[in-house]
Amino acid sequence: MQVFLQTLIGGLSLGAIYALVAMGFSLVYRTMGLVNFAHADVLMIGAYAASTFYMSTKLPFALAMVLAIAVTGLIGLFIERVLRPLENKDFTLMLIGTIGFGMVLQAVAVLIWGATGRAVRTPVGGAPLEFFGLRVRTYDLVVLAIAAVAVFLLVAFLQRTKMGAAMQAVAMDHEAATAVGIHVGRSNAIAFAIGAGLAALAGGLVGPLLYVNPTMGGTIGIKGFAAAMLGGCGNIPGAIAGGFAIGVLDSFAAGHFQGYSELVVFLVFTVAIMIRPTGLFGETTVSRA
Amino acid sequence: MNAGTAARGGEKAGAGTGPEAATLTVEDLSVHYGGVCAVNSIGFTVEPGQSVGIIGANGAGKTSTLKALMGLVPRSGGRVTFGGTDLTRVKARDIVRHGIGYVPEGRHVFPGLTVEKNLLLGAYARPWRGAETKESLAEVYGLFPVLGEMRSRLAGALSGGQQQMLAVGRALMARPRLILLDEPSMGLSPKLVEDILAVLVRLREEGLSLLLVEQNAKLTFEATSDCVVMENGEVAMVGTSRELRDDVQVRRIYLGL
Amino acid sequence: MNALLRNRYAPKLGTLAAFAVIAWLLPYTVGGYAIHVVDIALVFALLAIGMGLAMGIAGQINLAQIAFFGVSAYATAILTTHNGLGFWPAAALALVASALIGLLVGIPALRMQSHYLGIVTLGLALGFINWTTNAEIAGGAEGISAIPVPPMFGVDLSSEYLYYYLEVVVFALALAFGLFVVRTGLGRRMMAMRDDPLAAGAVGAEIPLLRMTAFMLSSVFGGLAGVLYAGLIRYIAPDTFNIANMFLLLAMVVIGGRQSLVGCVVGAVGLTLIREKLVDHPTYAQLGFGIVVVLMVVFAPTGLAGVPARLKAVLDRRLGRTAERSVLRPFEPYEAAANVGEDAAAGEARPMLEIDGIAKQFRGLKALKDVSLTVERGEIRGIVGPNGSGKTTLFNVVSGFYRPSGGRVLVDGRVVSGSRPYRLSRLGLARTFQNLRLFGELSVRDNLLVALDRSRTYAIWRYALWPVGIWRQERRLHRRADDLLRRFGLTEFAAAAPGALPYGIQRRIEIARAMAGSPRLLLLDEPAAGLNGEEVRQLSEIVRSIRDSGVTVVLIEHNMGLVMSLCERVTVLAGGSVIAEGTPAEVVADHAVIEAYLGDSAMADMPLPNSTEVTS
Repeated sequence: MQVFLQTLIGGLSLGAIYALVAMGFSLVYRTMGLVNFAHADVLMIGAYAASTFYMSTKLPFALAMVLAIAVTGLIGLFIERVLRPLENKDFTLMLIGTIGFGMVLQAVAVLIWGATGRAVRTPVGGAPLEFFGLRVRTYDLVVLAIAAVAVFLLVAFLQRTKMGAAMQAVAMDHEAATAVGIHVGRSNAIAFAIGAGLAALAGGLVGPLLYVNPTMGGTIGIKGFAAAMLGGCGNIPGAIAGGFAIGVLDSFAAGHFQGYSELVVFLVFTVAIMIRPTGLFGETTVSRA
Repeated sequence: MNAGTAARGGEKAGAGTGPEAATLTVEDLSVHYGGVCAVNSIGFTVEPGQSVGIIGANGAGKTSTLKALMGLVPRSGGRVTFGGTDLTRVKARDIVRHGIGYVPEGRHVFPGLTVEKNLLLGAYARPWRGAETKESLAEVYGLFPVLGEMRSRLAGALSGGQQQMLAVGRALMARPRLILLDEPSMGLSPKLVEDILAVLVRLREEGLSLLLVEQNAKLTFEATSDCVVMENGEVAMVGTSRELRDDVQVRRIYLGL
Repeated sequence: MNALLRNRYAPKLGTLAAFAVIAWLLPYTVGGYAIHVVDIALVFALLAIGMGLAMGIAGQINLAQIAFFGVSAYATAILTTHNGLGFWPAAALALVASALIGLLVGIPALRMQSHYLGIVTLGLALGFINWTTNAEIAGGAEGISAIPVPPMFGVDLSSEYLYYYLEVVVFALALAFGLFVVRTGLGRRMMAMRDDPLAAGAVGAEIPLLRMTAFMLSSVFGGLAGVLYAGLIRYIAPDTFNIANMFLLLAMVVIGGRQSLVGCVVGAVGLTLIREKLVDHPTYAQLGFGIVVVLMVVFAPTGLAGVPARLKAVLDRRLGRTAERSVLRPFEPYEAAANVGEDAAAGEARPMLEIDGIAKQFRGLKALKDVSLTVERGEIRGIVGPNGSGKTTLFNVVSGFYRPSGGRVLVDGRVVSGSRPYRLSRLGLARTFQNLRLFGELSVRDNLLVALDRSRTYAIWRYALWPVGIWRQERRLHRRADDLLRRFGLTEFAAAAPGALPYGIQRRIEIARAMAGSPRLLLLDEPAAGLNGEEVRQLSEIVRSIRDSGVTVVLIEHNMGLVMSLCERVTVLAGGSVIAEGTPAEVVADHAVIEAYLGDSAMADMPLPNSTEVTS
């Protein structure tokens, strides 16, 4: 029981990060039907940017993160602008186009930061906390807290603001949205920028947990996509549930299958998605952004 | 939703000479999809406060006409002016800002948003949750009390009739001077549609003009003063609703005799 | 390249010979390192062909190609170094292994498509990479070295010059096989599935089997590449099979042109050479490839392969050249089958179509409520009704696109409700679609050929074992396509892309395609929509002739004039129920019908105008 709970807790912080990735991916997919394979590399850029602002420029961790989010948001706007002619037209071409952007971003990262990668200092140190014999790293708690705040802010944005409501309306019916006066293109661009910002947040947070390098996006990104699909592409509760499911699965696979954990995770994921292609919350995708 | 509102809308849209000039004029409007001609050079006018119906069998080009007015499908020719503004030069998303509300065929409410959100989005072109918007919201709830009762339900969970009311209410939220209503009877009982149309007819007395596209001829004759009968993308007949109701040609056009 | 695909007799023998001579002489002109690069380029070319077959031809997003490559390379390595097998037996087993893995990875394609499939296949590829870096048998990060040199009757294949010839032969055979697949029945079906899976199913393509076949083909090409790679480098490590290389492969296919195998080869060879040129600046190479991929998808989605056709189009427009106008020839009526009317008259035949209490719900919305109707053999039945009355839904249920929520459908006395569209197509049912679903990237002739081909998917064993049989069948099919084109007056449009043709001609192509399967029951969904008066007249002539040849016809139509003149009986749907049925004259006098159409039954009692005056 103790081991079980400890493994579970071990999966939570990465799960929260997958959830952030999945949320950004879902938001973009929902609003414009664009499957953004560059999302993973945007995350990597976010991780580098955050670590640079934090370690080289010696800014506080929180400020470094905000700057990284802003930078990647701009990248997101750029990608959306270039691929806009393909939106809602050709799924496959769009997907390939974002893979092309991913290649570009990786190359840019190597040119700026080199190919070797770097370790990022944990912003909150100290010994792990103990609860009922379970050990929890303080940084894991920070990750969970920040992810929770991000979810809260995103939901508040979608539920409470005019832009958020408009964005959801565009996702549901872009013709009706146009007829009430919403600028669909602008709404999509903002959705893309927010998606990129969420990826950057995930990247910045994952920096101190893993090693930051130009290819780090690959595995985290695909696990994030898997999380989005598992939850039901395009809905926020689904993305969160999917993220934690993949995180916990990851943690158990690492415990039981050591080196083969990724193989196990993707096999389990494939079987799960075959059984239920619409994902856990798939049926309700229309009702939530 | 009264003369004063219409005047304000007129100033904002820069229509020039005030509400009385808010006439919709359609000349030689054509719509092509690929090689198919859906609407072939049609023309008609809707005077302020007038209610005009467009009837005709399936595939006659009625819905394409409305969508072309809204800029939602590309026009292949013709002129559309409203209150002196050339609508063919206005982007689809800005048409509403010129005082035209649109209720699409099949309702097209935003299913995952609450009733109230749907209505607020109807007033998207105006300040969010501003005093004016609140006023409009109260007015719509007054016109359709059932929407008030359901304000926090998801629109997708409403019945067809309630969704139709919501779609009409959403269009009214922009305080239009002209409302385009596409096939409200689709999938609804005639009684329900009559109730909804009765609300719009009442608003007409306050200066709102109405362009109603319907397959159901009887409903249309009752709710409008003048009608255009379309056949194969062209105007087949024009007349007052009273005249057309007694004209056997209408039946011929519908039944292909 | 597109022209190459279209023309059955290209490439000409001369071109082939020239290529053969160049391939033969190439090693004499290049240095030792260059030949190594060429050897690698050929491996990538094989991989790219496999990828092109799955993605470009069959439309299946396969991001696991690099894993198929890896599976066979690792299998060869393990079987030779670990199990002591000879190189060629190991290679044969490796091919089988990668084909099996291909089938396994293809299973998700039965349940999902598009980006879902992309993510799943990419995930499985990551899983494979994970296995190679950890498995002891795969040598972990160090990989496996000392793979034996493939023996070849005393030829020393450790020389990269001589190995080149082995590769060239394998590559040429593989490319020829790939092109043979693309230009014959299997390839056409896969392309039809890519362009429109629903319509492909309706003309008898077994979609699930075709998807699996696409993955298997893709993995066999990947497997060949893996075997050649293992024999060439004789050392393998996980790094070769990583995601970056997967995306590089994707870039090759996209830049070259995914819908043309030759384009894929050009992309693969070109990018390999460029990468070698930039070997000291790999990052700039990657940056460049990425930018080119983005530019390609936005500005030239058909890749380099599509450039000649685009240039030609631009040139033609500049020079004001227009193709000589092809003319739609008149339809040549079918010979009337003598016994049609008699059967029905004798009353001994079962009805052609029985719809018995069909209901269909979509999330609580009742689109069809207890619809029953019977269509006799040799009848032309009209189905009319206001918008949203459930007519097309009924067609979709009958043709197997929707599973009914209740009731049953019998075709010629056989219960068929719940069958897949391709099974119904084999039982003799054909249909057209309201919004035209032609295979957009196939020529008019190929559109018909897809439907003419009634062979089952399992018959593709002949591609591997009896290609002559395929070739003979092709000749038969092409002859029948010529007949069909002539009958429908379409001969001059045979090579055209349907999307570029006038709407009326497209409608006629769709009817010709439906008739290609020699159906017994033909469903036409609004065949007159978008047609002008003369075209409507031709349509009614065509439909009558089709019926006279012994085919039962059911049509949904809004053009009431056509329905009145063409149909013996008319069924009226409103709100998902049958509200009237009878002869056209009976139906238009029916109060319920007039109520449904005009909203006012009182109008039924008004006198009709003099009918001779208004009949069109």
